[in-house]
Amino acid sequence: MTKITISPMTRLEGHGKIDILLDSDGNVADAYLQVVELRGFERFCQGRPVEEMPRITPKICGVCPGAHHMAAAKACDAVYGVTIPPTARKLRELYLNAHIAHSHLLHFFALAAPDFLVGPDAPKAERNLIGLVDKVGLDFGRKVLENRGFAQKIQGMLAGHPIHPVSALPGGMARGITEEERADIEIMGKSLVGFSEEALDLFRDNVIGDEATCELLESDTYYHETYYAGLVDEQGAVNFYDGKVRVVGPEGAEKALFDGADYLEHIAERVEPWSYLKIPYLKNVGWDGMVDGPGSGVFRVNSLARLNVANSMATPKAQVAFEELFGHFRGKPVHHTLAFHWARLVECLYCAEEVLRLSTDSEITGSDIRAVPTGKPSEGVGVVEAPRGTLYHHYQTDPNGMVKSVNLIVATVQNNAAMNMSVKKAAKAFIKNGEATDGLLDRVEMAFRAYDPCLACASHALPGKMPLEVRIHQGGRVLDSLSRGST
Amino acid sequence: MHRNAADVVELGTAGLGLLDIVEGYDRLILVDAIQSGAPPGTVHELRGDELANSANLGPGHDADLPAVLAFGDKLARGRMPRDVVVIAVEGVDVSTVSDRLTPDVEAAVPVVVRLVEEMVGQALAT
Repeated sequence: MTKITISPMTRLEGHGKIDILLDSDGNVADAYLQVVELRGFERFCQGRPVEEMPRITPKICGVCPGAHHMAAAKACDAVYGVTIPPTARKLRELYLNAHIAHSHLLHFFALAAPDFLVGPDAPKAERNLIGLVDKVGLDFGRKVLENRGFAQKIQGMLAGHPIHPVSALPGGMARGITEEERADIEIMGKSLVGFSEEALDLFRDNVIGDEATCELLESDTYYHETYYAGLVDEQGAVNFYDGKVRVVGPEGAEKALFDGADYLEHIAERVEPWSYLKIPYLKNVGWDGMVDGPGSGVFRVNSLARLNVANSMATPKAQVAFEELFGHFRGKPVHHTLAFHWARLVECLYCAEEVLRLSTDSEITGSDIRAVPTGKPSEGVGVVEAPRGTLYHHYQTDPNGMVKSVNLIVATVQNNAAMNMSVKKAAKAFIKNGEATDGLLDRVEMAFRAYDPCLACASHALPGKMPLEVRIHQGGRVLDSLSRGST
Repeated sequence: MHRNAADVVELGTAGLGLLDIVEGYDRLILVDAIQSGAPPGTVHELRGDELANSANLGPGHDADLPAVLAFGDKLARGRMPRDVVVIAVEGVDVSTVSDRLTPDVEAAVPVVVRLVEEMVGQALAT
């Protein structure tokens, strides 16, 4: 049997590897995505004051510190049983929406768009941001950089630092914003709305409007009929900061609607001998292996999952984009994995509209930004939507508020089964007779790139530097190990 | 945007965010950790083609360092640093959470500090 490993995979956070096993004819027998586990995170947190968690957990990953900052702050609110003031909530929502917009813009333009606009068969030296700019022009490249910078700057203004946020505390925020800062955010919010619309135009013209690329988007190779989960507000609209977790089945019917604090009643975790990463599944459906269908508890999170579980988007422009996406695929839910990219741009527009709306809210510059906790600390769960999907933080403390236990369920872990299924299906479709060219392997990588996986985060790792390996094995030996970053 | 002859910035990850900071400077020294298989604590000095050929210089959700620098060159029209060097310390264990360095890496810290001071000193003298 042959085993394929792509080494190293340069567009994935953290470190892990994909093993592709070939049979004696050189066709794919199996494929696995494996992640190296981070050790000692819970032990590191134990015995520390719980109010440090909003500052410690963002260090898990330099890419989505904002989501951990928010989930940790909400878990701390719950630990102390405190309700935060309206202005503090709005500041947190403004911050989280800027965080999501930043992450989505970065992922789409730096990592996803080259696959679509430059193409998997282009020389890999061109299949990046530079190739993209050659295609769309320097002015558009400047707008990418400028608007990414705006989303990052807003986070820094609200949280004290764009990468190392410090302002969310149990009970609220450490500081508010001035009128001058508010006006600055409003200007940046307007720009983000306009640019998000341009990004959707670009997708419409170059992906949906291009026959070959659209075929890829709609291809059965990138298709899985699974359950989906994500937060929705009281109207059933997408919400990143708060709401209930809604689960829909492969046919679109609601399977569950629950408070984040009840996650253990709905999500179970499975351990497989080949993976360090646990495999969450829907407890009330059950584990039937890594397979599609209503009898399999495999579920997906992240952008497309959020849209699939929602009735609508809460902002007008994003609602139009939401309807266009589901209109294109003629219904819900959409099971096409590459449509996660499209959904990411719909969400980016929603987040930009939310940034603009909140920046003009009459309470946003208010000074009542913290309810100092007075309750006795014990246990709490904080749930938000991170860029890559639902993020659960669960803490237990002693009566003095010192951490006794920590459980995090991050988005990439929830997508573990689906990512493995997607990699295997793509590998089976593209790798035949032992031939694994760079272009073919890029098509395999596209299968998991759609999930924007964060393996550092999934393994509770501090930012890793070792890229993913993909190795091809046959007959018990490594047949090929492609060094994708070392041309 | 910079006020001093030399500035020190903690960036977190060296993706596109680097371009918000480095435009207009003559020289750029990046200090980071790396895993290349060399003995723990080894201090690497990477320039030019060594950067372009390295697979270990990229945050996974962002453009990698060579792409960021090339992107900056395209957009900034000569306002990018003309001299870029990465000083990277070979890590030992990136899988265990800790707020302390391993002894091999800790021993490399003064070496890196001295190297950066020499580079900055030479740059300011020319």
